Amino acid sequence: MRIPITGVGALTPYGLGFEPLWQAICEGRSSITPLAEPLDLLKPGYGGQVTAKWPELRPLPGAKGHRPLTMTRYAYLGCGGIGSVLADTGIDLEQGELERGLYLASYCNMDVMTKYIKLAHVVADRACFEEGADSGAHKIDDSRIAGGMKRFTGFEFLKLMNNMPTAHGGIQGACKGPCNTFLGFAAAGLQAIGRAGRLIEDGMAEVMLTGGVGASVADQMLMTRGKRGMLSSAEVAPEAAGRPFDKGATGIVPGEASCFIVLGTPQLEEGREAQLLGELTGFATAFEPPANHPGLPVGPEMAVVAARRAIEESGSEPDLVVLTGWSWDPMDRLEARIHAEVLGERAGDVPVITLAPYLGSTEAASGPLGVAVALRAMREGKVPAWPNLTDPIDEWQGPADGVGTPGAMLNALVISTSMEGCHSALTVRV
Amino acid sequence: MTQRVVITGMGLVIPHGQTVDTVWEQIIAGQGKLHRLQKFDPIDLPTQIGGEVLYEVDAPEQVGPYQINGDALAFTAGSVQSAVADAGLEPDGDPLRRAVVLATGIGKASLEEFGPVVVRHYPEDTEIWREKLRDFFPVMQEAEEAEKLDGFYMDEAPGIAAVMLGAGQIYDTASACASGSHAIADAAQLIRRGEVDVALAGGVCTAVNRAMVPGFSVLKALSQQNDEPERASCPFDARRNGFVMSEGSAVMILESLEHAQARGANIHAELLGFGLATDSYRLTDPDPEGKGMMLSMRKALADAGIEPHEVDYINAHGTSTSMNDKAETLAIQEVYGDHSKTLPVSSTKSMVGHLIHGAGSCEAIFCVKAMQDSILPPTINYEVPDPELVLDYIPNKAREAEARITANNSFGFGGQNVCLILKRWDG
Repeated sequence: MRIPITGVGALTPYGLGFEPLWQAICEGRSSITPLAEPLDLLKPGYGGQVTAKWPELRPLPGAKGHRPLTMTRYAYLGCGGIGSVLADTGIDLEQGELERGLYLASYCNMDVMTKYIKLAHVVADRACFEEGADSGAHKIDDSRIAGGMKRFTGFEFLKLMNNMPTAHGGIQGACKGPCNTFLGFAAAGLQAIGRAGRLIEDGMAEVMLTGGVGASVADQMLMTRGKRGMLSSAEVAPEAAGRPFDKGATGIVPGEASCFIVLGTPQLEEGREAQLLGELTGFATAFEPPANHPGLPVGPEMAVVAARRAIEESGSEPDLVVLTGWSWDPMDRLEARIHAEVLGERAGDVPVITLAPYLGSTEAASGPLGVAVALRAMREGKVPAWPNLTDPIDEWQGPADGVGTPGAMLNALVISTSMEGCHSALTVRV
Repeated sequence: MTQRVVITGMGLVIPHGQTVDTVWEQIIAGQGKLHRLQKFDPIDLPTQIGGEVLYEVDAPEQVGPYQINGDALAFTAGSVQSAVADAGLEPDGDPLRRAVVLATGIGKASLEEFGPVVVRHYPEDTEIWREKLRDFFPVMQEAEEAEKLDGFYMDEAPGIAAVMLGAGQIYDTASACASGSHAIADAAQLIRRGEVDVALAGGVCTAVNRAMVPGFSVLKALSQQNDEPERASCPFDARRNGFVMSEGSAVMILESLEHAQARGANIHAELLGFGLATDSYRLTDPDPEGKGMMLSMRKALADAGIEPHEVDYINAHGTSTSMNDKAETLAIQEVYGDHSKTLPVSSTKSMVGHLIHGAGSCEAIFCVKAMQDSILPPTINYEVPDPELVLDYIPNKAREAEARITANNSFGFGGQNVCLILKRWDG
């Protein structure tokens, strides 16, 4: 596979566009800060939060017609990222490029819970909580639903459909070609890019906008992951919390972002003299069910298979590796083993990038962000320094400081792992 | 070399039943399964009707690490179990040569999940205001139930299917009402390219619940013909006033022809081609001129390498909404030209209702059965012709007719359109 990459866009806590992100990580600035109310009441009380408001996003290409109140956080972040990549690549939305499509990954599409909590409070059947009542009995008072719904508009539930970030983005990008949403896993971001590349390779699209969105700085995510003991400690300073592969890591740091790239057919991109940032050269995904659910992957084997397949397709060994970097002990150990097995004797020499120390966990955006950063790092011959890797875990076989001494970098391998056992790998070349 | 794609297994769990043949008998008999909702009392709601799976689904209680609890997972496991058995496959072999593409769309979180949790901590019958919510957050994070609030997605569903098929690649996708067909198209691409030999594809939907029925009802997308639920879904009829929500799951086993023949599989049909296109118009409404629909149909015909006149039957998206049925009719007329005047078109949503993420895959199964049995399913409740909609909608009674090639249209909220072209397998 050799698919030109002609644009990069992002919406991160550092701001709109890829440049603020690149500048920040080159300067070693973390985006992890204390959260505002009411999220400050949930542990860990900090995270990497996008602060861009609608007036900042509204001037983006195709964004004018959007109504933010009809969007979940996932759709909102997605529109920022898509607008950013449209601006970067200079696609003329007025021109009818019939085969332009959008493949978007979104971990889920949950809205903030506040409004639904209020609805639940209205409709819950209080009788079953009275003393002596069977706790397994009917829990909702159906006669209250119609009353509870009066405060909702139709969009409140339509916007929860998992394809809605793509639906908004497809309209924004004036897409007439294939549009699809990839769900459920942190690895879905690379799945979206990989499948978008396959569409172009097979002649089923000419231009694909593709990437992912993550929004784990949200009440529901914080509640669930907090209860499961997956989040970082509230006792740690925010900027020191994201420390993948370090013995001092205490858990996942909530983050949010979106990142998109543009893939185009070689012929089309040559014709319009598009900027060429690199090429997509390989993709693979693999799954093995966890031992328990919810649980953790059984072992590194399937992720290793995915990475090796992507490398084989690219025809080149990687000069740079991007890892998810969970900052959560069981997943860090797993990912370190994956890295060691895939790189073998080269593990200690090949520089590694992980964005988790800067951004926290950005779910389905993490893979696309990794692709974007890898392209820039290779083009500039510069690997941003890693904060917080001071005492690596025993499984870590990479450079002691993560970065090592980068040589010429032409090929990068990006690996995205997920707790659910679905892993993806993607290779890019400059 | 591009691999030909054939269908070797089918499974579904819908209001009519759980075996393809039993369901098909009812469909060609024109039997609808839409009624006043029974799983909850829809009292005072604008829409009180829908399609529900009211029988006990035959599904395992545990699949690998996944406990099968709740309708969504039971529907998934039940339909996958049937499809895998129909294909005569065992979960063995190289898992990387098998894939699952499953559309899950609307997840399992519902009012039932967290409603009781709120009341447990705030039992008084008063409004929850800002300050109380502030108090509630940290309490909730420590509550036993917090672990269950894993949102509007369900990673278990594709995982369950993967374990049952022995698949080592999974994709969890969503394109609203086009999801089931979209998953089939994605799976076909994996096989064509030789990335896998076998792929399970389809969709599951459990939107008939206390949140989504009222929600879509407020959106005015649903029929409010509560007095006659069995007549409420009337695609292409002048009386149509909204779709009727239904629930279930429908999946297919796709396979490369080479692989299917090598193992002596029973081949149901061939997937000749597919077309994927997008409206880029509005979130809730299709392009009134049906441009995206047309594009998906044209692309599918081109991908299949056939001319419009070679199509013998279309299973329409036919939602029973004013806009969809009109735009779809226009699109069919435009794409099929003179052939549209005699081309049989029906909407089985008139009987099943709208399975949302499972609709496309369920209707693809009906296309296969129509070709196998040479009988075209009807559009029931077709009573008052709309003078603007003039296709042959196979009104009210199934029709015996040979169908060698069929098309299946699926168009989603948000403007995502998919058309599948299927061909009868004659050996």
